[in-house]
Amino acid sequence: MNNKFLLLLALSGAMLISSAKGQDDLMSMIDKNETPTIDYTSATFKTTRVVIGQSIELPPKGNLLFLISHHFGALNTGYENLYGLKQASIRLGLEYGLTNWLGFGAGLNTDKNTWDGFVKAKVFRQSTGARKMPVTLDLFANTAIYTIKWPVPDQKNYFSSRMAYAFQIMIARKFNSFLSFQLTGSMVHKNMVPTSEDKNDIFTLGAGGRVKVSQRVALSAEYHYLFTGQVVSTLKQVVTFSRYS
Amino acid sequence: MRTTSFFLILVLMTALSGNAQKYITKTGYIKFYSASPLEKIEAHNRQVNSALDISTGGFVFKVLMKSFEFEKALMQEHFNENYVESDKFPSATFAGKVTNIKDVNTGKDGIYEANVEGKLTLHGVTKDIKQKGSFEMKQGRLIGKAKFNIAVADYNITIPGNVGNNISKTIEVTVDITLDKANM
Repeated sequence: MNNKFLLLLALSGAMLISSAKGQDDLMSMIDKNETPTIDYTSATFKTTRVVIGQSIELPPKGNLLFLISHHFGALNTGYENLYGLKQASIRLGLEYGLTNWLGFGAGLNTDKNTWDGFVKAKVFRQSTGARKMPVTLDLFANTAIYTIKWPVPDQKNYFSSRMAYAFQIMIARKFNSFLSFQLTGSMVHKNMVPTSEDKNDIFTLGAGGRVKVSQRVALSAEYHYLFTGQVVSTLKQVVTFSRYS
Repeated sequence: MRTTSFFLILVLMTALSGNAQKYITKTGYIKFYSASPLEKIEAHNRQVNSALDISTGGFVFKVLMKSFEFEKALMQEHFNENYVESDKFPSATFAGKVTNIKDVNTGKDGIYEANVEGKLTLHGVTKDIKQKGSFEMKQGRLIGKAKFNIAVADYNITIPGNVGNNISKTIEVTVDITLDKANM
């Protein structure tokens, strides 16, 4: 009696152990065996721009992008100006992803026939898994040269007066697949400004975001705040919106 | 009393000796291929986790969706963002059995046919699948191979009308894994 009881106990114990060693056990075995990987956040924004301003995205490595950008005038200029449609300047640009963290590009803008070239680098990439990084941080620098005739041909004009430079630091976070947000600090240096009240160094702080409303449609908006007293003679504040699909 | 002790020991040993019969890999290979009139789409994953229990036939897979590599970066982005939603469903798993595991003789090199059935979970949807494949025993390693089709609609993956000609409704999956004896 006692022996039979012991045997039964041992059998049921053994069966318990065996069933625990089923597929769940195999699953946890491969989970333990798995090499920890860094899961880099992808598609914080759909493209290399939030709307018109740069986003933290680069063209994928080895990919060339051709961008046709339109920068319209202000909405509140009325029907006579077709709410800004008439003041559009167009930029044709090429961008190339050299590595996963470095890209460069060039373009031609109809505004004062401006040619530009830029580099953009990812310093940190948002990631989870083996390495955790809450945000992506990019640095951006460009040089622009306007090539229309000198506005004041009678004075002594220097070639360097045609040049302007921009530097940006961008910090972005994709909170989830629905929401991404970016802060952008910018500094623009213009070698030549229209009046002596205008500053050569201009600072702005921008914010932009993307809301993915469906699997294939996202709404983006951005605003770059221009600190007062820097641009006096040709002031404009711009909010931009877009829809990507 | 002696007989009982003997049985007791035997039963416990059988229960505890499972690990010696297990084969495992974390560098398995899975390819999927979509052939449509306009575009051929192919993705490769070389970080497939899999384990097989020779004694029971228990067979599992785990695949990180983000580890699939495409020829074009945009395809990869669309795959992760729009189709399989990798943020929500990071991995696909299979948990099942090789029903004829007794036919696989790990002691002898050779190719053995394998019948596999179980549950495939992809994009948060679990379906029963039943496929044929093969195991090749070669110098102590077990090479598993299979090729089968899955219908994307079965896994709640929708293809919008405007790219209907670019993406096939059934995807061909090729599995090629080399399992090593687990030492644990």
